Amino acid sequence: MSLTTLLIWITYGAALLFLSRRVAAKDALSSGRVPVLIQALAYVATYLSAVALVGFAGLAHRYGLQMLLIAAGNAWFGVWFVYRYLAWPTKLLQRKLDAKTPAELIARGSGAPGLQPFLGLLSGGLLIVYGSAVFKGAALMMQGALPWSESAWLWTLVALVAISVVWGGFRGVLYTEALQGFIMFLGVTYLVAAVLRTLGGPLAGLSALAKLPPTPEANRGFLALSEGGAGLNLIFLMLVTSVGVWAQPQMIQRHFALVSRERTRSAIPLAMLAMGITVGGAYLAGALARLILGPEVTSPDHVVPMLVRQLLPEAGRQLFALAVVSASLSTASALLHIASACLGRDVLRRPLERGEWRVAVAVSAGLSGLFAAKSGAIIAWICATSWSLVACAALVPYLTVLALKGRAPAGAAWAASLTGLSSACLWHAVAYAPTSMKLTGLAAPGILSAIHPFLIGTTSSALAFGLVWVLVSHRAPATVGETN
Amino acid sequence: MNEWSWLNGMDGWVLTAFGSLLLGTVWSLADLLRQARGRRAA
Repeated sequence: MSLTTLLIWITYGAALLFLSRRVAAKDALSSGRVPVLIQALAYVATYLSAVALVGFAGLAHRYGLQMLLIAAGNAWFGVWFVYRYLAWPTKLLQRKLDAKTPAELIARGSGAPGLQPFLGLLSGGLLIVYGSAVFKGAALMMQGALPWSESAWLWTLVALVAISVVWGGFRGVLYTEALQGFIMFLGVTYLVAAVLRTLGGPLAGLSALAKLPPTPEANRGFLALSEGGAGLNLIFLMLVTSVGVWAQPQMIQRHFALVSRERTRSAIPLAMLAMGITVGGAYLAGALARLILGPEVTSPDHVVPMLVRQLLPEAGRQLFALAVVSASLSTASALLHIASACLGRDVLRRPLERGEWRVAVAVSAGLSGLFAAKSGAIIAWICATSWSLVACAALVPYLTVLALKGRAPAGAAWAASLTGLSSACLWHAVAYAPTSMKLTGLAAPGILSAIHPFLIGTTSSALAFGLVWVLVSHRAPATVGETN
Repeated sequence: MNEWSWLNGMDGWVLTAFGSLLLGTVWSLADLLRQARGRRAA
């Protein structure tokens, strides 16, 4: 470890803390006015974790350019659609209902106050566990950059993120995420440029990739969607990461920082550009890596680190390491902030003034760190499923609150949330082969076992919502809307 | 050899994804340029 490397990382940590302290607002759950560029970069940085930059980019080595379906879905459904149709209506409703958290917004909007602690506990609990995996990943990456023990890195990073969340609150989190988003953008751009230069340009690279023979995973070649379960999985992965993201509380919360419809529109190209280049570039580099590293790579997680070691000079390696750690820590700070808000405000109904906010963050950070240190099968299962479970419980209630402005009965929102969550859990446990085989040893027959629980959960959630609405309207039309 | 021959091996799904990402990038840059011109004119 050189002195320069040490200085780079100390400067990085100090910059995050300084920025949090400098921009902090009085209220830990409010952002104040935030420039469009900060808003857009923070949204993308929260969206993308190291799973995208390292894990999914590594999978592109195995599956080829079909991984770009996920990148395109993230850019168009996860960014463009959200900013075009969901972000500003969410802000207007949040302002009207004076909601501080997404669970509060959904509960007040649907006239079902009990939904707030329910969704708060569910999201807070799941996101603390999910955050533990993000912290653990970041600690492993830091171990590669600076040789401390994994446990020492884990608790250092937990402390760094917790302090920045306590000091900066929501506003500080947005600014640090924007800085990290920019570093991610630079790191990926550098890597893509190095890959394309090595291969003699994009056209030469794509031509060489097209000539590679099919493999069991890329069974129609590296420039086509695979047939059967592999292709279906990829489409579901695109849906979960592009549509499931709409209802993630940490993403909904980003809309609370918007200030006007016009400025929301101006954020679209910035966020699209950041998302398209960062995630599209990472997957393109991952797919083309097959031409540089060859087919024999032990794990997809090793592809990007190998590529970085092989192609980038020392400065580039440090920049990319900063980008990957930024991807993790930006997601971790968003998760820690929202989990603290969920547990403190939604579940315990506390106003989260300064002292309470510190306690809420400290408890959430401590739990996240403990889960990361004691990782086991249950924790791994929650990490793998939390995104889809939160989406299945909250997506339909959230979208119907936006679309119907509370005209539906409260029971419909409850039915949607409970049915979505329970059907997704059940499908994960007994039908969806990737999770059910490990949990119960059962699976649905044939291709049904590849249908993602997100599809089952959201479909049954929407059906339950419609059914309860119709039943309540039919039985007691006068009561509809009384709760609003 | 035609340097665009790889397009023949690209199926509709990947072509759509690849094309839409490129389109998104170009559209975003053009929109940012339009916004900058609008600000300058104002």
